[in-house]
Amino acid sequence: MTTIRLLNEDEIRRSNENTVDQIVAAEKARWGIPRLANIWRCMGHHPPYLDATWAKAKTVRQPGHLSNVQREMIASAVSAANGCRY
Amino acid sequence: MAAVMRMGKDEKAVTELMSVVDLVSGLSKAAFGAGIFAPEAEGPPPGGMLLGLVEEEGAQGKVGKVFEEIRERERERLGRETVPLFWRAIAHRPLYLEAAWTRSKILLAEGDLSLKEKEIIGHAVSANVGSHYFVDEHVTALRRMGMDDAALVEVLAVVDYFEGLNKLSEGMDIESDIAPYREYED
Repeated sequence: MTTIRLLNEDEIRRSNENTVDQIVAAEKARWGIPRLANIWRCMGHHPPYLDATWAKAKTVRQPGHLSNVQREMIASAVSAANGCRY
Repeated sequence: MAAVMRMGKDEKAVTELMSVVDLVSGLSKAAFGAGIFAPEAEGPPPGGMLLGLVEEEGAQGKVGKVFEEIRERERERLGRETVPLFWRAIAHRPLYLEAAWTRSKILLAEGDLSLKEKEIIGHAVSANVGSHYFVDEHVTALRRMGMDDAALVEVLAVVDYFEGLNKLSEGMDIESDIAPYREYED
């Protein structure tokens, strides 16, 4: 249940086609789910927000000192500390 | 969590990860409640401390024994010879000191997660709950393990990014479509 209607992929493509393509490809690799996750479908209501957040996501995921699994572990830890189920 | 498991960490490793979150968020709240807001420095205890500190010298029985173990671990981990003030503040209750220390000893020991991964989680959670004191402690340990400023900012960028997404998904009450809850049989 969400407080707003989640846009579908095609609706978001109208404003953010390039970003949607990149997210779907990346999330397929990450989750094995070849579609836009709900959090992005929510952000699609504010196209500049979606683009800016995806740009940040790409920066955060760049190879560096941390491995991918270490990054996901930090994400899990922060989400648990925040009590966020998503 | 779904991503961590897809990357090969099993239930045992994920529970170990969450035990560090439990440990660090609990200790951070206790430090806050004791009025330990600032990192530890040379000299007198930082301002705001609400509790007296149990002296290391002459500590006997349970407290003396725990202090000895703490000094041993922190000599290696933090490069110091004295008991950190958090432990001296809670030593007014020897049974609590012993239980809290035993948990810390067990949960920060190497397991499916490396010592460094545990310090990274500790840093991320301390930053998340806003504990200056424990941020300082975990950063000290990480620097001794060779992490530089760029690596620390990399950790903080992940914290920032997920902190934000958490707020959005909570604020909008977005249902998870990534890891549907599964039923497990006994």
